[in-house]
Parts: sequence; C-alpha cells; structure tokens
Amino acid sequence: MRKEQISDKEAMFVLIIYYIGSSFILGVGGEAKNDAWISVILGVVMAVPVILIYARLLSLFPEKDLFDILDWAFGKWIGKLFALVYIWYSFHLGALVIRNFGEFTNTIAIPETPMIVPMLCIGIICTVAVTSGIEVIGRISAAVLPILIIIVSTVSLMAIPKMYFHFLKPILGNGFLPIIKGGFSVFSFPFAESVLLMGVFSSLKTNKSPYRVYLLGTVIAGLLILMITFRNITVLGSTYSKFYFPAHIAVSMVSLGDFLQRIELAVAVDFVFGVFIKTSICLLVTCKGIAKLLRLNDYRSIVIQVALLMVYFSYTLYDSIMEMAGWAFKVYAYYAFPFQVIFPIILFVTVEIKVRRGKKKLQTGVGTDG
Amino acid sequence: MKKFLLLTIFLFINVMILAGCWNYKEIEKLTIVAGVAIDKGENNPFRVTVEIVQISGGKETKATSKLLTMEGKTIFDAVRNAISLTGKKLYWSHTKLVIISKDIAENGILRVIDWYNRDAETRSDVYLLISKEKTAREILEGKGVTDEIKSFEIADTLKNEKSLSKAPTTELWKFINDLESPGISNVVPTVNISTSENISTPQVMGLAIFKKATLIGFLNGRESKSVLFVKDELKGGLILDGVQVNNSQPVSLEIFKSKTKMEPIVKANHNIEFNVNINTTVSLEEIPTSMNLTDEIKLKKLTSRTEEVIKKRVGDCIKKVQSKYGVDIFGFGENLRENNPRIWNQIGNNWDDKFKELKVNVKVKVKIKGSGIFSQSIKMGD
Amino acid sequence: MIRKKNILDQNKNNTVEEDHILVKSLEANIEMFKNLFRDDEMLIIRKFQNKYLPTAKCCLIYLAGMVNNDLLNENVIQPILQNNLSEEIQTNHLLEELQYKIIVSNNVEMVNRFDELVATVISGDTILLLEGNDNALMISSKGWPSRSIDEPESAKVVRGPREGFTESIVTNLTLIRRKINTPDLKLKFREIGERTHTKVCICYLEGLALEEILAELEKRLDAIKIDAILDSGYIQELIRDAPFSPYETVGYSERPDVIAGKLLEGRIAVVVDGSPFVLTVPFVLAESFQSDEDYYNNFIFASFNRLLRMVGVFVATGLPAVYLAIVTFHQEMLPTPLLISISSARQGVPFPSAFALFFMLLVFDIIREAATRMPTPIGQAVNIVGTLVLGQAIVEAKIVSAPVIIITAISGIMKLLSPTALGSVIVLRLFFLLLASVLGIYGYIFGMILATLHLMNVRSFGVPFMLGLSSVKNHNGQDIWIRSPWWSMTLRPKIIGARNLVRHSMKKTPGSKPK
Repeated sequence: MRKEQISDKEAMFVLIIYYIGSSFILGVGGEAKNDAWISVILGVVMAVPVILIYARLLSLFPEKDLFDILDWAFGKWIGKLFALVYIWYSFHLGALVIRNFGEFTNTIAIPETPMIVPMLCIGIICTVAVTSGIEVIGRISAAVLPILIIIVSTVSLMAIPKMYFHFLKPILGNGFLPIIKGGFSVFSFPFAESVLLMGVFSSLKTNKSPYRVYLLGTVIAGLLILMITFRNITVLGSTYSKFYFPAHIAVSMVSLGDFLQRIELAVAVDFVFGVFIKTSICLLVTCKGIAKLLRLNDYRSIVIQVALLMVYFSYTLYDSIMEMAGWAFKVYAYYAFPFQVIFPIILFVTVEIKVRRGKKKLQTGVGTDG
Repeated sequence: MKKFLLLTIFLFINVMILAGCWNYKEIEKLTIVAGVAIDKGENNPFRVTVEIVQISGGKETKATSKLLTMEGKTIFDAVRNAISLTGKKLYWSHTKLVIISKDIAENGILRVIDWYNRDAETRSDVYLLISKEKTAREILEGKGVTDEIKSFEIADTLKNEKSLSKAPTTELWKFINDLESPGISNVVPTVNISTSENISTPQVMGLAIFKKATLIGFLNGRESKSVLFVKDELKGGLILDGVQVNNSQPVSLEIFKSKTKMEPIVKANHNIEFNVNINTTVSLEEIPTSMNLTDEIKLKKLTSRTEEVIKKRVGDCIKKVQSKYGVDIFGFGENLRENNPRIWNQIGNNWDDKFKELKVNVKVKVKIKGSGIFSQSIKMGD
Repeated sequence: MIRKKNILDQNKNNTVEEDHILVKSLEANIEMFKNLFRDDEMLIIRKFQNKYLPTAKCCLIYLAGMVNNDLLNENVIQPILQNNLSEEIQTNHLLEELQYKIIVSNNVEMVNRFDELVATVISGDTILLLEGNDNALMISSKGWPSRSIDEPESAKVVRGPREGFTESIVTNLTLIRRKINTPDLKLKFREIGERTHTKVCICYLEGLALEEILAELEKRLDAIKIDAILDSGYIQELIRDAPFSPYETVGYSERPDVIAGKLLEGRIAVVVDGSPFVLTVPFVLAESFQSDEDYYNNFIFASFNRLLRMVGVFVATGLPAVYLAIVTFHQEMLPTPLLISISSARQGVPFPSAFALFFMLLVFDIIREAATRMPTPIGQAVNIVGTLVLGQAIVEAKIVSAPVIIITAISGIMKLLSPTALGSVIVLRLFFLLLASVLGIYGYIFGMILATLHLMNVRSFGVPFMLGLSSVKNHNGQDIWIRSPWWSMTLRPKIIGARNLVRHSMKKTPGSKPK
C-alpha cells in the first residue's frame, strides 16, 4: 500500500479542527464565569509544555506513531498495556464527542428525532472518512477550515451590536481560583486532548515539523476559542456558564436587520464538521491501536465494527444531558489527566533515558518490534 | 467492503424512511404564536392567552390574528392544554413578546418566565412587557393600527422605541441576566390601552420597576426617559415637551446621540458618591418663535436652559426612585461591582439600603448640532 | 464466460487466416473475394484490359460508396486503359511498372497477403489485381461522404473559433494539428473493437505529458476487449477511474481549441474514429467549471462567469434540500413575513413538501429530456407545455405550492450553467434531498461531507480529482476559482504538466512602461 502522508499545513488544520470541534459549541472554562476568556489563555499556556512533550516524542521517532513509541519504550508487555489504555481513551473520547453531538441534536436541533439517528449518521460518515485514510481527512480539513473560520468570524462580527462589553468586568472579580479551575478544564478539554494526535501524526513529512504543527495549531485554535468565548461572554453575560450550548444561544441573539436572524444553524454547521473530524481522529487512533495490538495488516478491516461499537457505547454513556454536563465539567478533567499528562510524562522520561543511554539504538532499533 | 458499505447506507436510509419523519412538520400545520399574555386564572394559577397568526391561502396572503385562552397549573400545563383547543401544538419560535399582568408580576414572575427561558423552541430574545390594564389579555384584544397582528405591532413599536425613548426595551434573557447579577434591578416596559375615536390600541409607555422578580411600582414615560439617560440606553427621542427660554413657546429638541458616564467616587469610610456625566448632542426640530439661530448668545442660552432641564429631571427621577422604591434600577451597584470589585465585596451585601442614601451628582452637557434643513426660524412678513 | 468465448470463436470463422496469400490466377483471386463478401452487393469488381497489351488483364476491387470515383476513373482506369502499355513496359514486372509509372495516386503499395487486402477494401481503398501475378496493388482512394466542419451544437460560443470536430478521425487530427504546429505532437494509433476495428488515436505533446499517465492510459486501452466501439463514450467508460461515481473522471470536448488547450497543459487526448467527441485525461473537477470562452474573454468577466458556474452547481445541488430543511424542520430560520407567505402558499396543498419537491424535480428532468430529443420546433412546444401549462396549472390547482416551483426552476436553471456536471448534479440533488427530508439541515450537511469525502477519494489517472479546488495558494489555483490573466499564468498546473512547468516567460504586465 502507498505510504500515507499529510503536509504540515493539513496536519495543523486537522489539529485546529480537532481542538475547536466540540469546544466551539459546548463552551469552555465555565467555572471562571465572565473570566472564562482568561481561563482560555491560561489553558493554552498550561498546555504548551505538555504539547512540547508530545512534539518531542514525535520528532524523536519520525514515521512512528504513539503505539510504536509505547512499544519501543516499555517493551512488549507493558507497552501493550499502555497501548490498551490509549485505545480505551480514544474510544471513550470518540464516544463522548458523538454523545455531545447527539445531545445537541436532541435538545436543540431536532428534538423529536431519536438521538441514535444523528449519532449513527456521524458514525457512518466517520467510517467512510477513516477508511479513506488520514490523507483524505487532512485534505478535507484543509479545504473546510477556512470556510469554518469565515463563518465563525462573520457570525461573531454580526454579534458586535449585541455585545455588552461591561459584562467582562469585573476582571478577576471572583479571584484567581475559579480562573485556575477554568484554565485547568480548558487545558484538559480541548487542548491536552491532542495527545491522541500522536497516533496519527506518524504521517508527517519532516522531523522538525511536529513542534511547528503542534505549537502553531494550538495557538491558532487558542485564538479562535478565545474569540468565541469572548463573544459568548459579552453577548450572554453571567448566564454564559449556565447554558449547555452557550454558542448556540449567543448566536441566536444575532440578527442583521429584519431578514437575517436566527442564524444559529451556521454554528451547527461548524459543530457538525468539528465533531466529524474529531470523531474520525479518535476512531482512526482506536482502529490503528487495535490493529497494532492484534498485529493486523491494515486497520481498515475493523473500522466499521469499532465505529458501531463507539456509537452504541456513546448511546449508553449517560442517561440525560444533566449527567453529561456533570461529567463534562466536573469529572472529565481529572479523568483525562493521566492520559493527557501522567502517562506521556512517564513515556517521555523513559524514552529520554533510553535515548541518552544508547544513541545508536534510535536509528536501528526503533519500532522493529512493531 | 464497498458493497457492504453501500448496503449499510441503503438499509439505514430505508430504516429512516420507514420509521417516519420525526421532526418533519409541514409549515402550514404550525400554529404560529405571535405573542402571549399571562394572567391569573379563575380556577387555576395561570391563564395564558396566546395570539396566533391565522393564515389563509389564496392569491394574496392574509394573516389575521386570533386569541386563544387556556388555563393551567403551570405555564407549560396551560400551553399544552392548547392542543385540546387547536388540535395542533403551538409553535413558539416566532413569538415576539410576553405580556404579564400586574397581578402576576406583583407575586413574582420567575415561575412564569422559567419555562419560557428553558424550552428549546421558545426564544429568549422575546420582549417582556407588563400590562398596566387589569389583565394582560386586554392588550391583545385591542386593535392594531398598522399590522393585523397586535403582537407584531407592539414588537415594532419596541424596536422603534429608540427614536421615542419613553420606555425601555427588555428582552427576556436580559431580564434574567440582570436578575442574577447583583447591583441592578430590572425595569420592564409597560403597555396600556389608549382609546381614541373608539379604537383602542396598545400603547407602550413608561416602565415597571422590579425588586428581584417582583413588581413594586411604575414610572411614567417622562421618568422613563430619565432612567434611560442614566443607564446610557438613550439613543434618540425628543427632550420632552420642549424647553422654554424666557417663558416663550417651547422648543423641540431631538436627541442625536447621548453618552452617559457613571463614575463612583469612593470617599473615606466607604462612603460612595456617584458622578453621572451626560453628554448629549441634540438638534433643533421645531422652533415656534422667531429666533435667529445663528445668534450665538441665544443659542448659548438655549443650551444652558436645556442642560438645566435635563439635570433637574434626571435628578428628580433618581430621588424619586431612591425614596419611593429603594431599588437600584440605574445600575449604580453594577457599575461599582464592575469597576471597583474590592469595595463592592465589602458593601455590596446590603446595596439597596446603601442606594437609598446614595449621593448622585448629575452633570449635563448639551451640544446643539443642527437645526433641520433651515438656518432660520420662520418669520412672518410685514 | 465460456459462452462468450464461443461466440468470439464463431466470429473467427468468417475472417481470413493470416497466412493466406494470393495465387497467380486472376479468376481464382476474384473468386476468393467473392466468397468472402458473399452477400455484399456493394463489392464492385471491375475488370478491364489494356488494348495495346492484352496480357495486362486487370481487376479493380472496391466497395461502392467508400471510394472516390473520379479519382479511380481518372488516375487508375484511364491510364491503364489508354496508355500504350506495350511500349512503355519493357520488363516482365508488369505490376511494378504499373505501380511506378502508370497509376497516378499518392499512395500505392504492393501486398500479397489476403487479410491485408481485405482490410484495405473494407477501409475504403481499392486493390488492383493483375492476371498472372500473386501480388496486388493497394491504391489509396478513400472518399466517402462526411459532415463538413461546422460549429458544434453542444458547445456554442459567442467568442472563439467556430469549428468543431467531425466523425472522421483524420479530419479531427488535422484540426488539432492545425492548432499545434510542432513535431512534439505525437499521435499513437491503435484499433479497438473486435468487430468494428475502430481507430483510436492517443494524442499528446511530448515533453509535456507525464509518462506515467501515458503508460497508464495505454495500459487501460490495451485492456479493453470489446466487440464494438461506436463512440468515444464507450472508451470513456472503459478507461475511467471510480467507475461507480456520478462524477465524470474523463473529460471530453467537441471543440479543437479546447482539446489543444488541454494538450498544452500536459493532458493526453484520445481521438476515436466515428465520434466528434475527443476525450482528455486526466480530468479534474475544476474542469467542469471551465469553458473555452473563459480564455478568450476579459479575465475579470471570465472569472465572474466561472464563479457563477460554481455557485450554480452548489445552488443546484443544495437549494432544494436546504429549502426543504428550512421549511419543514427549521422554521425558526425563516423571517416571520416569509414564514407567513410560504405558509399561506401551502394552504390547501395536500402533498407534503418533500414529495412535491421530488415530484417537481422529476418533472423538470422529464421536460428537459423530452425537449432534448425533439426537433427544435417541437422542443419549443414541449417547453411551453412544461413551463406554462404545467407550472401555472399545477400551482392554481393546488397540487404543488408556488415556492416549490420557484425552487425547482432556480435549481434547474442553475444546473444548466455547467453542462458537464449535469449527471452528478442530478444524482447529488436527489441524494441531498432525501437526507434533508429525514434529518433536516443536518442531513444536508452529512450529505455534503459524504460527497466531499467521495470527491477527495477519487483520482483521475493518479491525479487528485479535487486538484486545486481545496487551496488557492499556489499556481495550481490560478485557473481554478478564477481565470488569471494570461500574462500572470506563467506556469502550468503542477501535477498534470509537471514535466515542463514553464508555460511562458512573460513577467510583466502588458502595456507597462519600460524602465
């Protein structure tokens, strides 16, 4: 089979859409109330060191993905254990994202349609995308991200007449603690979730580029999320954190004259696309991991099965949207912490020690096992 | 593989079609609610009146209004009872306003608006109004002048309110937002029926003052304008019933733009004063007496006189609210909280008490910008 | 499979074995031809004799209607009949003497293999048999009636050359050659079709066309095993990528200037005898939106037109679905007055909007199909019936609401903006409509994503189908969304014309003052 490659630009676009996918509509940093925008900045700053670790790992092992690195660092058995852990995480994250979408359609968009239907649709589309491979996902991201950004910026510009800038004040009115809490939640959702992209960025072209891709992507996505958060706060005020889907409500306030109003569907377009890319990445990583674990020749043979499992798993995840919100805002950050920070750091330390000890092993021995 | 995929998609589409179209609803099957009025019921806590748009087909589109009343234990209960009357579910996405009767408002409107704010189909940017008549229903019973559908007409009135400025406009979400943020109390426009030549039409004028979610009093149109002046929400309108210079005929001045700045002055011992600086640009619109407008002295006189009038009215209004109602509808507290959160944290707890004794210094600056398309007043020939 | 083989074997019986050659007896040779063309009364066998040299007994064999009669009369029969052959012919090699001295024709060859002679007769040339000779002369005498070069009906232009391809491969190649006067223009012939023996010519510019693509094309052409090729459409379908896709992955045109332009960008053309449509590969989606007139008109105007075409396809595919989604799922999107007017138009209409849209789109396509096949006057009548009678009456009778008619009409007109994409537009439109009728606007978005995924997956001869459409940055994009002015298009599209990227080296804007 042909080796799949994506350019730096496409990788960055995938990363950006991956970040903004569900955070655009779910809203981030609700803990900090009207200081959520500070939390976003804080979250990006907190994410940078972790992201540097990811990039360092990737640049040490060109053309090897997360599972190869795990294998190399920890050996056969512990490596497999870690691989299993990450397969679970990406599977779970994919299910969470699908569920977010399902809840969105079920509460706001098309409430009378059973939730499983749009979720299954996303599942099918993701199956097609993942079967097509990372190249196609990269290309479609590169094609669509500019459109998404144009839509979001236009909507945000149109929202300016509805913005009350005094909602931003008092800055730091609730003290630092909520902001740090918010920052932490922004860090874990969405920024540190990029750990999973280590599973697909093995297709990057050059050795140096992971740094560029990861950092630039994070900064651009950070700016976009900042813009959205800023818009949501200035339009909605202190009620910002009370909505399940603040962006939707904020945009529903926007109107241009009498004719162009109620344009929240524009946000829904962004959301669907973001969810599509994010789920595809999660699905791809899961399938790749399973394929590596079971030594399959090609991950494509298990995509449909995994996708269906993911959809059904997400369907049984929660009982209600209240439970989802509780999980997303209270539990998730702590749940994801080991996957996002602890394990990568362990991996990073192990790899660094191993690399320092025997330089030549890096050239020859990398991933021969895989 | 490909065949399997195709088959899956095919089956999927089939299943979807066979399972019916869940959200699919034909547009003519909708009962479009234009506005809703909420009263106390006779047997139940709530009586909800909705104005629905009745559309008749044919060559030209005709939309007529029809009122529908139902009662229920909760608002949602009442709304759902509508099905037994219309046979169709009501469609709320195009609703423009919610009118609440005095009785309900005096007992707190939180449980009235909660459903409205929470439901996904309703929109939180509807206008909130308080009926000054006995029931809210009467408002919708009135006759529209420009539009068959009264709710749309009232909504238009509120939209154009900025060039009248005799009532605030309050959208539902803003009401809830201010309800939650300390240091500001809500004002909601009031609507009453004005009868002329045997036609009674709804008229939006004045405002209702809320303490938390409870109605406690009203202000008339002129006072409303003062409130808007302080809140920096004034975008237009006349400086009412003119300004008189030397007992002559009143002059109409239209407000071009107005900017109000509120600044807290923290004195020792946490004593707080507020400066309210109003900067208004007006233009002369009506000059009944002969007056040379290029005469600088006369213009200056007019300017200073206008400043005095505004200052007095605004000052009076603030005093009235302070003494009579004792709730901060101007947002002094919010301003303090936003700009000086440290002080606010110390004194914010009993802000309403503080507000009653708050000293407010009003400073007004008026600039006369133009005089319509004439440079002179009309002079009668000899 | 086995049955197919048998049929092919049966076909063989009637053909000539390869090693069959002529004999010395004229009568025997004639008999052989008569046998082969048993029931073909078009076969003309003309025997004649030189009056000065009685040994020169000749026989011309040709197919009536396929040859130029004047040419045969004046240049073959007349010289042989009337010249004093006994004087002129000194040697015993009479046939060779005839070939070199007597026959006035630009192409005369001596052959003795029977199968070659048969092929010659079939292709419209004439053979000359001579008593006592086991060789024969093939005389080029092709001349059958063919359509003259005129403006193609399917692709009219306001500005640009007015010539179009005809059914004759020779004429067509001539037309191309006249545009590109360089020996780099290579023509590779082959015959495809076991019964039709249709001539197919691969046409490319050496040094521009990518060898990989050329090799791939030849491989695919060689793989074709079919009994008949009646039009280039056969070839088009037999060599294309993504055979199930509604999108065309092989381009075609009826205009020599278009083909020349594509050749100059490094594409390869396939000319098929008997078809005025010349194929080009590789084909990318962006070409659906290009028109030859774009290159002759002012570039601003041309770019505007091109954007219109793209918007056209977008609207044609999406509008019915979006309309349906908004009207039946997301009524909150409609401004209130519009909601009221659409609602009032729907009053009393019994059929659901989704059904009405499907129905009207179908009706539109029926009218289109009916009008295409009809002669122009009847076609107009069909149009009148379609627009006036159906459109007006159907609204008046409250079978379909007026907005649906409007949407159908807009979508129908928009899709005609880029005729090449017609097939895919019709398919996609129904697909989107189906999804939208189930999931509203989300269905439409899902459909769009699926369609984009499909497009991203498709390659035409190794070239990504979406080439250039997904980015506007490099020079690939100069001729995609807009048509850049000629002086700025210094490079060819990167992937297609990779062997020689430089198109021209004008760097300056024309008319700029020399410094």
